[in-house]
Amino acid sequence: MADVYTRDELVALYPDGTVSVQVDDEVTPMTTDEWSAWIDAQVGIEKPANDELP
Amino acid sequence: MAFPYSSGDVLTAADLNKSSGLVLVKSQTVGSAVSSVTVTDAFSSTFDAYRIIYTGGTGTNDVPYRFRFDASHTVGYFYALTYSTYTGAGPVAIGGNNLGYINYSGGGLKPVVDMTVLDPYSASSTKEITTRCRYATVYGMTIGHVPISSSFTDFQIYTVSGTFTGGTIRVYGYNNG
Repeated sequence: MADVYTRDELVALYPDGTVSVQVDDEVTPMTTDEWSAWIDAQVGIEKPANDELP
Repeated sequence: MAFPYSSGDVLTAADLNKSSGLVLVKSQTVGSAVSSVTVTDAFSSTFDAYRIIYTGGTGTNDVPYRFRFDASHTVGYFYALTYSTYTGAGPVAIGGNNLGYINYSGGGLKPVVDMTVLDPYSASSTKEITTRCRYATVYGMTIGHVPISSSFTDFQIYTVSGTFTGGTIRVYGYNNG
């Protein structure tokens, strides 16, 4: 069974205030509500291997 | 003045406009730890076809990236990814049926988007998208179809998970001639 992200893992990886959205040159940290929804959208996604290919 | 030009020809603005192939429309540097980048005023009546290239950045996750014109259309995007792996497994097909984005529009730990977009600005035309997608073991091409009767000037690229930092998104227009 694939290893998937839990909410706690995602919160540890991407704490509130550390993720931004960009529109042209303006980079804006997500609001807490936006960040919470973004975290929720990733719960259950399979963890990538992140291995560099040979 | 007919192409090819000869030594001594006097070139007019019209000649030069016809001679340019891909024209850089916009160059957008990507910031730090972003989940999405929206590029505004990329599409206009000047060009019918565009090339979008993103290179030079780093991602936290080796995952696919998504493309959409805006967030307001939550349906209307259709796509199919056909891919093989670098070990030769496949081909495999993954489809997206009436979603709010084109998935598999790029990807990777050093994310790359290399995409052609047809008729994004024409409200009366179906938008067509062709793009490469490489991440993890996936090496594929995605064909997208967006039959939305709206004129778009902007687009957004975002990662399926994690964030990305740096690099440049460049938008080129194909000269209509």
